[in-house]
Amino acid sequence: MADNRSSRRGFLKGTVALAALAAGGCSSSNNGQNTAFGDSVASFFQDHYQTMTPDEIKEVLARVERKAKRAHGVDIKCENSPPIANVEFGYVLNLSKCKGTRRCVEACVVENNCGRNHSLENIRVLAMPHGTMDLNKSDHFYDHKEVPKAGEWYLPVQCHQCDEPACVQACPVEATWKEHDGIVVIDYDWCIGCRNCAVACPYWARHFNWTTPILPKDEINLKTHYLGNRPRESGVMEKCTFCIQRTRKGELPACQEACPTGARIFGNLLDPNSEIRYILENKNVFRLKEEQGTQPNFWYFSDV
Amino acid sequence: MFNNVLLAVLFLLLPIAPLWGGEKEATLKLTGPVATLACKMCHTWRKPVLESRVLKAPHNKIILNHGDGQLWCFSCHKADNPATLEGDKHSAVTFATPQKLCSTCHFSQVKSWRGGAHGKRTGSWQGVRTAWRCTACHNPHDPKILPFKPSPPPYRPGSNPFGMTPVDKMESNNG
Repeated sequence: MADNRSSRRGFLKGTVALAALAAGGCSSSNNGQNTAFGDSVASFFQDHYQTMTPDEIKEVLARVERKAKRAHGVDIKCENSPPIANVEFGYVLNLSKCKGTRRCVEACVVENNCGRNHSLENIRVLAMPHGTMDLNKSDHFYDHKEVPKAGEWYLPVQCHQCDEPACVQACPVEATWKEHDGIVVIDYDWCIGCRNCAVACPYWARHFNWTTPILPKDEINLKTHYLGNRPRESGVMEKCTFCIQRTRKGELPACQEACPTGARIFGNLLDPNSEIRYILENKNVFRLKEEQGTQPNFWYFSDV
Repeated sequence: MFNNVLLAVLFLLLPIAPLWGGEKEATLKLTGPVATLACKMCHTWRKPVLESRVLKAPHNKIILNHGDGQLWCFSCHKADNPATLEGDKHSAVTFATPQKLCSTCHFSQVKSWRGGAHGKRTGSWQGVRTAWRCTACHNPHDPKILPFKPSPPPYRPGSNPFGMTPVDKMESNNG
């Protein structure tokens, strides 16, 4: 019985391979696979990111670049820069300084090639009345003429890159995992779009591509990372990756650079001289929804 | 005898005491505009008015809204050379390192800024850090940060701003 079940995949493989041959694509030569059809056949057989050999990953990256060229007409550069040794990323946000300008959201959408056609921002800036921390009373659709509005305070929420990520445990196909530098990533090609992770995440940090993301051609960020901001397709989850394509090269995340008030502080938790360590050691910091036990690497504090 | 030696050692250490606080600051690279003022053009032959008054040209564009009306030009600018700032009795502070003056009142903010909890860092999270100097964000004459116009809000679910196709719509309704 078990043999019968497992043979289904083999049968499909055979059928598709035959179809590929029939269409004139020669599966043994690379040139033949560089067509749209050849690429979709190769994508079908693509393995999980963590189990692929370096050569296979190289092919996959080239394929991602070709796909982006076909879909958006741009020459992107897709990389898979590995984690830096002795680095664990953390983020701190100064609530006294956050004025709710949403510049972080704007920069994030452009940097990470998020679809403009659906409300799919990796950062949510919650506006809350003074005197409460009840998230049920928050509103992230606020549209004031000027911020900060009197009687309101602002709480930006994004992926907290937890040490015990509930989303990773919820994924039935292991398409998401935590990297050694603390970033929780998704293999978009392995994701089946079941949205279990979105349900499990206490911070509403995971977003689903309901439709094919619409990207303005001149606004596409050409510097991409396989696990980060490469253009996605419909039917997959996406999330904040602390701008993996930037931070793994020593740059700061786009939200940090965009913040006009300096409320966002990003750094290496393992470096005792980093800004983030200074804040964790000298300020009254707290974690959002600490009682969930997810051990986030994201803290909030306020000027005393 | 021993006490005297100890005192002498402490006394010798005094001059480097300011360096303890400035250790972190020395490793910072500062960024942001630095004003270059041609104060000397007039103030070599014209004595600055030390008393508080209504400012006239060429200073009429300065709105002094700092310190609840208790400050005047020479609380910060050196009277004999207004293009530099008051450090202490013996030293002048340039516009490139305003934190040395700001810290005389706002010491806790400058302390946080040195550590990285106040102000803004740019460039990289590792290696030599680049920090915005105080005057990059705060107008020293009117230091309060002005309100911002927020970026547009996200679309409300179902508002369909880009016109989804019927298939997509069906998909999202089922979800």
